[in-house]
Amino acid sequence: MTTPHPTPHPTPYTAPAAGRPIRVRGPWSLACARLRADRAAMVSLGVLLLLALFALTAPLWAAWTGHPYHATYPDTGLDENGLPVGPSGEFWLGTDSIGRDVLVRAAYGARVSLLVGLAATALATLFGVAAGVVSGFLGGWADAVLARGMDVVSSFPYVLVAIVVAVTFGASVPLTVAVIAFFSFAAMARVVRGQVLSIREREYIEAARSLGAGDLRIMTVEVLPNLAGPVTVLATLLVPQAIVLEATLSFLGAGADPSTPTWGGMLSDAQEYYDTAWWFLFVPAGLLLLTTFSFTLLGDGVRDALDPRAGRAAGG
Amino acid sequence: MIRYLARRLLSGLGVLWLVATAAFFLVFVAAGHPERVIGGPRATAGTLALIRRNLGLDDPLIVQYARFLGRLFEGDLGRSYIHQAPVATMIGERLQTTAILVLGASVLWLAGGVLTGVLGATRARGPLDRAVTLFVLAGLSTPAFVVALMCLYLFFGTAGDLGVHLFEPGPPLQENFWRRMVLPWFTLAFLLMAGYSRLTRGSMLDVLGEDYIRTARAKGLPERRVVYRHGLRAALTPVVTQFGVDVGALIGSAIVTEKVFGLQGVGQLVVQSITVGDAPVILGVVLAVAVCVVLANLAADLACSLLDPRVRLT
Repeated sequence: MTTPHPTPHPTPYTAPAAGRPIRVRGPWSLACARLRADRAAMVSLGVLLLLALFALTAPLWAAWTGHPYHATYPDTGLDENGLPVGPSGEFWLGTDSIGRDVLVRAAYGARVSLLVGLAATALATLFGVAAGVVSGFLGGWADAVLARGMDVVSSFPYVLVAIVVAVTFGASVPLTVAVIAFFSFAAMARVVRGQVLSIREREYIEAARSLGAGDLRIMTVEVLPNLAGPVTVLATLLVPQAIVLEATLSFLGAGADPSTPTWGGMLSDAQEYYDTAWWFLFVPAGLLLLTTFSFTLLGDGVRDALDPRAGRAAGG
Repeated sequence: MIRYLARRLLSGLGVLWLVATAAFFLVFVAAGHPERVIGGPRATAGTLALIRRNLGLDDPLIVQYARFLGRLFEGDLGRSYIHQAPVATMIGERLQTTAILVLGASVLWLAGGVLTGVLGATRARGPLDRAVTLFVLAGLSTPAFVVALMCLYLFFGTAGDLGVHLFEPGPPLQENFWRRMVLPWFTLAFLLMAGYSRLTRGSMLDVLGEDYIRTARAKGLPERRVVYRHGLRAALTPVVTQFGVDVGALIGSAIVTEKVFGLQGVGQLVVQSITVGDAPVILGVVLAVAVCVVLANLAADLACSLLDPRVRLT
């Protein structure tokens, strides 16, 4: 990536307008202003906030409808053939194959998706940035070991490994977060390493070194702040990928443990009922697509805002 | 060239060794008790001990590891715990289905991705470009199994019997084969197409800004020739590189596609083996995939040097 970095202390010159004080705007406030002007990104942000609210209020939905997420209603929730019933006053979004409330389960599923998406990305970013900075800045054997490690990670078929890990240690949410973080970190490390390789040669690094700064100080004080742009962009785009991965793993039964309601798990159950109970398939699928699509649009907006030159013209 | 190939193959072997080691410890050591898998639920303690001894599981870990590596060097992937058949044979039997699935989807997704990418780049910011961008964002945020389920719903659901002729489960290469593979190919290709479309568009825009493109235009070459012969050739380099990297991710999507459409390929084999704890088969598939990834990366780099004469293999 050849992204221009927000320089640490730029003071863009603004012609003094009559009667208006000059405001110095840093790169971040400029980026925020650009993001606010991006309608698609703002709508996505709104959708995501609503989804987060939906996830946070999951117990309230259970209380309002009177249906805990694990409770089955074989009498009211299944018809005379034992098939799920559609949306009604009793079950607002219908029931699933064993007569549980789809709305309540979808709300709890939102918690898992958002939690895994954000937690895995945070972990991947933390380790990816650390590995990338060390590998790119120090070079030598540290670089050789880390770069080879990244190669190994990306030649592992992650779905296979995730299933093996899930079978070995038992499927659970924290394990899913760890597996997804492990397989996303190489992407982050690779990008950061590339950035650091170019930052390393800048004059201000030389200046810092001539002032007597050590490697550790240069890495944390000089290099890290200049990575903020590309790292933010990549992290926003890693979130939807992590959510897609979690849903895929849960669909295969290797994500969250089966007692936890997840969108992927619901879709796996719904697989057999696609021709009889459309709501069972469409509610989790719709929510999942809404979430990942919003995150992708927001990530696109963040990239355009932080990187206006590369933005729409080159990146798509 | 020879030295380059030798060095790349050597480093590929290194990667394979690391993958094999990691997989060995994860699958054999962490997964624990194959004698229970082989002996079944009613095996006596004596039988279990005998099985352990026959498999050499009582030896120190390092001895087992050395034996495992030694077998690998002879090309022996071991035998399945459950089926008692050689793992290599089992994978070979299933390989055809997966290969047809993956190759067919690759053609679709490369052609579709590159074409939409070029259209987006040559008509940047136009309505077509916006449509392509929307398609890219949709593809990037849709899991494979959701596409597959939506296909099932559209073609088999309440809409009617439209799909019955398009898809029947079962082994491939029987009657109606081409009709049956349409949906799985489309599912697998749809997701990957998006990334390639975006990559081609970006790389194409970069290339079209270069001096030699201006030279080609100044010579009076027709625009089509400038774009496809001069531009696309260089713009494909990152696309081909990415193709090599994506082979590993592809097998993940193939597992899901095989599951939803009931195709008996390598993906289904490994999922079934994981469920019953058939460690040698799991390990065999992981290694086979890793070999494919290493070879695909090498092939991609060689293809890049053919496409773009500026790329030097060092």
